Amino acid sequence: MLLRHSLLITAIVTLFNFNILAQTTSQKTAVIKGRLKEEKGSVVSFATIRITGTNIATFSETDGTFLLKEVPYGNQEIVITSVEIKAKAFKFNVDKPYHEISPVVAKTALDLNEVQIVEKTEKKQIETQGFAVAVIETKEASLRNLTTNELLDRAVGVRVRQNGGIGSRVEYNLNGMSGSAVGIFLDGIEIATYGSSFNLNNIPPAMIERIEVYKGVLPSHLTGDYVGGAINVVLKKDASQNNITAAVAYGSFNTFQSDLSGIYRNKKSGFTTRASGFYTYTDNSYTTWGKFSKFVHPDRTLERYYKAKRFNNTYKSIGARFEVGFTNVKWADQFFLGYNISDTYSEIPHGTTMAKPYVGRFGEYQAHVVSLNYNKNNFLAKGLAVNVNAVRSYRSTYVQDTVGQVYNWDGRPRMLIRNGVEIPVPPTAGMGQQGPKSIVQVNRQITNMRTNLGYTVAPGHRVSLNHKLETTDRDDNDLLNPVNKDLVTVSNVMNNIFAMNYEAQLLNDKLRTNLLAKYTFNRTIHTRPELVEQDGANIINRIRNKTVNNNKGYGATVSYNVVSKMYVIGSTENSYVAATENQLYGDPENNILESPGLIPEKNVNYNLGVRHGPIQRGKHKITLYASAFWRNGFDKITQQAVEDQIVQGRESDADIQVTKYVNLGRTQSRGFEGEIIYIYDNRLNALFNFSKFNTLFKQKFDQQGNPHDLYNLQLPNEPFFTMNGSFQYRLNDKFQKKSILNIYYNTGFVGAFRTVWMDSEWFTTPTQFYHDIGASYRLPSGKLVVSFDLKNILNAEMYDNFGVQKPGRAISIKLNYTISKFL
Amino acid sequence: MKKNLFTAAILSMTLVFAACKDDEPAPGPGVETPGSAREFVSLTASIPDEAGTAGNGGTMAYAITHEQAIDPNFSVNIYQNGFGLRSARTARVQASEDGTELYNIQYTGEDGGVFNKYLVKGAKDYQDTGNELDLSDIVGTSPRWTKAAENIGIGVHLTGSTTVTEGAAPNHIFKYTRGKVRIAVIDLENAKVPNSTEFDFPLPAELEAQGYSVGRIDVPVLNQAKNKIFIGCNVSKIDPAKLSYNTAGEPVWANDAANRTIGTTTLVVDYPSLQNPKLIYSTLSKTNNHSYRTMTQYVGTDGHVYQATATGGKDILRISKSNDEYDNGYHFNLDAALSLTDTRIQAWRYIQDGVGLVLYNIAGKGGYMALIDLNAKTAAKISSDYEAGLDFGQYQNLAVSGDYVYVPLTPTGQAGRLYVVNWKTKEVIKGTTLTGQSGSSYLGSY
Repeated sequence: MLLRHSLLITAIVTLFNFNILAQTTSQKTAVIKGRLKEEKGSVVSFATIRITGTNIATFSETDGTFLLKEVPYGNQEIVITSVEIKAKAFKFNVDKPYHEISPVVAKTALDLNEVQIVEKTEKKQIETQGFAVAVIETKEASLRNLTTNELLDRAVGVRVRQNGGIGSRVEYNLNGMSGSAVGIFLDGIEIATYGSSFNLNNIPPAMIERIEVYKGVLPSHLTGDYVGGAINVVLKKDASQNNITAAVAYGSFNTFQSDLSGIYRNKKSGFTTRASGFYTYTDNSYTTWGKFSKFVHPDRTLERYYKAKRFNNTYKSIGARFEVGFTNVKWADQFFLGYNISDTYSEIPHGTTMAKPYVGRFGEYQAHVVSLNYNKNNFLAKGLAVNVNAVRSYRSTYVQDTVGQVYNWDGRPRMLIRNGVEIPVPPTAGMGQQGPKSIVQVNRQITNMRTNLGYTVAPGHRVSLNHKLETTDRDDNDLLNPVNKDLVTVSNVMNNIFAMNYEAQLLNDKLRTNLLAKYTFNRTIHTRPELVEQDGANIINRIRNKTVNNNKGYGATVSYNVVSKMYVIGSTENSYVAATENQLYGDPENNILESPGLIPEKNVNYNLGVRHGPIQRGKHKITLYASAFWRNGFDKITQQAVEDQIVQGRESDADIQVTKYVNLGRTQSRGFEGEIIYIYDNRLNALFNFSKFNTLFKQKFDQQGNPHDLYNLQLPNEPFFTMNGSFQYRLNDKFQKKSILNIYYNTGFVGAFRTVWMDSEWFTTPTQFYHDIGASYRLPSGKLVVSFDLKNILNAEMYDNFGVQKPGRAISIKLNYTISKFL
Repeated sequence: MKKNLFTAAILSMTLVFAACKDDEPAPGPGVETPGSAREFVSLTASIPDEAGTAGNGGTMAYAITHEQAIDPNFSVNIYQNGFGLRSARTARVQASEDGTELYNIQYTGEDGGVFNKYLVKGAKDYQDTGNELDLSDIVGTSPRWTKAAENIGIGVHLTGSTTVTEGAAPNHIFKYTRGKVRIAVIDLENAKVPNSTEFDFPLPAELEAQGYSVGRIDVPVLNQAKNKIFIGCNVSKIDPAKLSYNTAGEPVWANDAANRTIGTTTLVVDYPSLQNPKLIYSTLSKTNNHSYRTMTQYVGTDGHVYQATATGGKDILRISKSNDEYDNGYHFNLDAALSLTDTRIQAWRYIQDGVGLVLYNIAGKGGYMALIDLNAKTAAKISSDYEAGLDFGQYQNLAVSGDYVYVPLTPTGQAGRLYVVNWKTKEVIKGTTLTGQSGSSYLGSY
């Protein structure tokens, strides 16, 4: 059935095929360094240089330089290709460890100023490994006024659900899995380590090399208890060229965004420094006019469709990252010490819905992060590669909510009639905007370290060991009503994951397989107070309690190169998630009873897909991709309702029900996604992708043991059908000679979905359908790029979450400036 | 995929046919029935939430005629064919006496505390009048409200109950626990809030010092003279000598309900001024009277207010119309009337002339019905086919029309029937079949 639907297939422009996991072999290898020029002497950048019959390939940098590593001794054929040159092939005898060459190529008649390289080598490399993965390149996007979240949202099978404007809460949905089922990583480290102030809302695409989106099965460098997949943001690593880039953007809703970055490398010593930073400010003062935009009159009558301008929604974020180290030196391929600092001020305009506007509720987030990154091929022994990424973070979250007055969406206090007189709603004693008045500061110290050892046993056979350690020390401070910390119950959690994988390339490298296994070990130390009466007064005894749990998992991926440029890829995984301490031992504060008989949840994932292309016919190029997935969760731990128990002493709360966790739930999500990319003459670039899935309720029997009527129905509140399309057209020499003008169009569609089980128009999140246009203009010098974006041009009413309207039409302009080749 | 489309097609066709059937006017049996005083009886049912948790996902409504109600061959599938009332969780629905209007205040969620009004037009045709009120600032997003008299709704809430202490950890000293009473008057006819109030809960200081407090108030009713509102109170007691600390490090004191000495407590305020709060105490019972989701106080034909100690007790107490105080000479005891022990009134309805219908369980188990006579202090059990599986915990309302009371009975997740009881003749008709759905059950009739 799925295959029938996969007729709508998809694609990826892949110009080059390059193996990043440079295969170390036991035979003698050499390094070939060079600089690519054309006949007139100018350098040629972004051309592919490949050793025929191997996976060894690279592309030339902007200064024409390139580096081919681990080239086997003997007669080799080097092929140089690019859309702006005539392909060149020549024989070359490798007979010493180091060669330097200066090939000269001929330009094609079409004198392109620059080739728009939309996709790069690593993309194809990762995408044909066997995982269900999409790789998003940020090079192009960084010149435009796009946030990282917007970029992610356009990727196949990814839905970014945002609760408002810039800086608002975001939920990532990967083919129907979301929440804690999806891991978000920054260079393989959970992004939460970097604090709430450093996230995909504010990290500019300019700081990012690429984003990998793994759906379902995860590779060993991203292990964790994530059954739905993971998003891994890979920050820029490249240090091949000294440069400084700067960008500023200004647009609707008083939104100002800027970023700055620079790289310096001393070619002799290998000393490298990188620095980058960003600053974002926005009022998010957009207008809402939908059903949930409402105004309450003094007699409490409620007016809907009230045109309101959002307020108390300022978002301010500043962050910087500094790295100092050495690259491509004898003892390290990369060695960096880093410092990452970020600070965010974020006003919270409303709760999970727009029901009432908040005034004076805000958060401040800060993080200081130090990091160490070391990687080296042929470490200690030939064929042994090591990669260590260690991060220690000191992050703090401060949330204040002390204003008692209730407001209307016009920005003024709500009124009511009290004892016959019209007055502003009197603040409720002790209540803030969302709940009881509070000033809370949470400080966390997180250590997160990932170590990977890879060893090439024989050519095409590689074994990797991966270890991840994470510990969190959390210190909660109630600044409004301070409590004696000796009386607070504290949990200290340590998390260890050991993973191993074995990659093999068989059948003349046509078949690539990867076997994965992981073992997770979690330890929690729970310290709680006990009061002991002594001489008529209480003294405190602290009682420590240690609990451990283990999870295991295994999986496999396979990729088969059926015919040239066509890969069949598949992956599967079987993993377990053990019950947490709260689930097992209960949580009386939250009315959860103990349930010691819980068994681990089991998750089984399957993915199967095909990638084909690019297929070239004259000036036409097309790439297709399609994939089907099937995710199953068994013995899911869910809360069982025990109806109508009211806990003594807490009667004023909305219905309290004592519940416990049970192994009842089953989940299933299955569906398919596809992408098609068409390129004409390297001028027109068109893309279309879609994802459609069913997340089904799979609990067969209800709590009385009767067949469940909701069995096999689509779960509410999951967007299950999304489509994206984009066009890009390039015009050369428009207005000025040697200038480049790019025109963009982008559209997105999210099918309507119910938010409750019953069929109710009221509780349906309507279809989202929007159109964006934009243009960027590169001045002849190549240093300055000006871009202009118009988002949601038709001012469509859009909702990602029930009752929270997203921004309408927005205009912005952005300037990018690059200085390269200094020093 | 294909299978799902097919299922969807089948479902929608079923829906169409079901709708057709319900649209046909039911032919009357030819003789005038006493139940035909009103056109429709609305039934409501709760549905599960996203996680499948029973009763938390919203409320469906469906209106049938008396003829359909008593027809055992007629079947209602409220889950497929009903109308979804606006509420993220189970709505708290009230209705006009003749059943032509439904009133709902949404319970929690986006529009928690928002009042909606619907005109009942039969089957799934409920016309939203568009009269919306936002009561969240006055009585919270999970309000306790009732139709206190025809066309008058009263919403109440006990807000911000906090414990005041002295000293420091680990030797905190308990002073008192107190919250604020908030009351809103709702004009159901014109859909507006003409008045509201707020004051500290007026528990005497000496009771507060002993550890008494009131954490929830509910079931407001207006007396016959329409000058007093009686509000049920959930009184709790802690032992100020038994201190411990919760996981957040805050002091908590052990429950001491066993040593409670004060009787069932009712808060009284003037209407319509909402002034002069005072408390009255019963000497006949110590069981709380704040009920759960259903109205449990009624003005009798004799003008007195009859108040059940629901949902934990067996008593029906009387508040005298002459002095608006408990009539401690009157006591209806369901245990005694039925010769049972530990009956708990879950919902009840005063019908007329001292006759009422009570839904109860025994020691928290099962679900049973009895017709009671408050004057004779007698009760007659009415058997049903579902007694062991019923749970009246969420029950909300019982509609009365002429000689009939309409009692939808469905064990959670299962099919059941609409029982139509002639309260005069005690004749019981096992009427309309009510189909079941997992995690769902019928909540009441209106």
